[in-house]
Amino acid sequence: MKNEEIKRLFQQHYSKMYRVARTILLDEHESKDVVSDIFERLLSGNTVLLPATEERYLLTSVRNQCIKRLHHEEVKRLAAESYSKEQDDTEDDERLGEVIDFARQSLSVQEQRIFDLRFNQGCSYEEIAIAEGISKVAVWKHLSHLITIIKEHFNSSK
Amino acid sequence: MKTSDEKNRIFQDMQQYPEKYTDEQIEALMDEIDQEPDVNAAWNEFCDKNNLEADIQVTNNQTAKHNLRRWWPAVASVVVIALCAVGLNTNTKNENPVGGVGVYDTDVDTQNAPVCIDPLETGKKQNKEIFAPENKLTAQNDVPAKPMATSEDDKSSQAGTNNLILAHNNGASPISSIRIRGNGGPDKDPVFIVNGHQIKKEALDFIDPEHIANLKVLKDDEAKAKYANLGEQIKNGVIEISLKPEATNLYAELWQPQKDDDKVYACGEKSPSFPGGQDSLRAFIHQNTKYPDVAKNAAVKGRLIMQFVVEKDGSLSDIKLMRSMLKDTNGEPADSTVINACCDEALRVLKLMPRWEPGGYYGDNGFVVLRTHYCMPFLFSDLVEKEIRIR
Repeated sequence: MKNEEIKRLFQQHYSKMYRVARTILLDEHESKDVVSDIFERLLSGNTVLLPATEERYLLTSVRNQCIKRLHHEEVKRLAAESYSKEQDDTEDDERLGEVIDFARQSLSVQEQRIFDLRFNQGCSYEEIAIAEGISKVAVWKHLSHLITIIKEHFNSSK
Repeated sequence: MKTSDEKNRIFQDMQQYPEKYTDEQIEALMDEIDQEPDVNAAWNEFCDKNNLEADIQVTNNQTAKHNLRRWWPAVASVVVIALCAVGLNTNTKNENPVGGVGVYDTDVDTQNAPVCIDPLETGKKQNKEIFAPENKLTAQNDVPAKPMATSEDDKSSQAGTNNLILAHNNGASPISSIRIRGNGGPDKDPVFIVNGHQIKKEALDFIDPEHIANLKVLKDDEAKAKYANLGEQIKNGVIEISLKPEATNLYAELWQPQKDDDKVYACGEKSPSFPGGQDSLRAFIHQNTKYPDVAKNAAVKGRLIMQFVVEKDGSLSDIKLMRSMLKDTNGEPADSTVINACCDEALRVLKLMPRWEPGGYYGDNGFVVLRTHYCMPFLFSDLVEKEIRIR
């Protein structure tokens, strides 16, 4: 992808991507890393983004990378305790879509909406609180819950 | 001042056990997470890391000075298709032929055309345009759109009496209109025949001009004489294209009837959906799936991922098992009788379903439906009554 294009995408979407990453990873530096990785891949690859769906694509990429990272952390932790199998990275991508769809089904309607607002639209906590008519802390609790569910599903389906 | 690690530990704890903290503490954390990053600093770091110039300047490379721009969909450059037909004279670009019809400037300014990667690498260093097929897929798994290259040819290519106008549209399709005579409206497309097969206008985009041996334009009587069997549509003329022998097989796909429409897409802009939404879908499956006895007796539980195609009319077809995650109490995968029984049950439930809303994408003229794949997990367990967490 061309430099000018990357720059535009970066400037337009970086904030939201970073926000999505921090929601899952919490850590500032890791989040920056993930977002940076995604742009690096775009820079060196042949992926073409369609204007109508580029934001969605970018935010979904961030989300997926973050979940994979969490899983790899988990695996490393387990590896320290016991024998662990080789992780197949290509399988991960395929599973992620399924797992997230499935995990979403076990969420309440409101949590599904909050999931959408945060991960598909990159809304801030404040914006979600206003949209849903609930307190910010309630937003936090819902999001924490749904992230836990997704983590569990992803880890358990291996 | 807490270290970064300490902070992260607290953040994680707050995520897992929010009830341990006060509202004020949680809000403070949320404010920190949502703090706007310094995008410019991040960009500069990115540029440093990847050896880019932070302030984009137009770079000179060996072929041309760029006007950097998105090539899709707003392609601003001209595409010229090489015409090497009998009867076409090499008229100059400046002449206004009969009928006041303009002829495109075919001496393309190679200094300003963008240079793109040619996946059909022919080894020639030409300035090329790349066009992606019109059926768009959202990039779900980092799959790049498949580009096809057409090359510009520097031969002049007009006819004295046969005037082809190639109009270029800064919208969705690279070649949006070809007219033999006049500027006409939407129904003035000529008929396209390639090696004796009729193809759709959109299919023309896929043909590399390098593979065209011969192009002939037939109007009026000539067209009628030869293609009377095609009926009304030849009233706007016929364009006969013959391909070079080595290229014939490359394009056989184009004249398979309705081939495009038969394709099943992995994912469109909009996924297919069950009427009533995810909740209804969940409820439907929950109410209708029966835990097969075979599975119960073998104490096998777990999920089956079923894949199917949602047709354009919303009916489901081509249902198959994508993956089995059924396991017994020892964690061993279930044997095939159990899997088959569960599969049959899933199939039965799927057949009971009402029509879905098909998936597709938003094209220029509204929503276009596509045959789309969909995956669905089916849970088999004696704890089928799963409580939805109510907060």
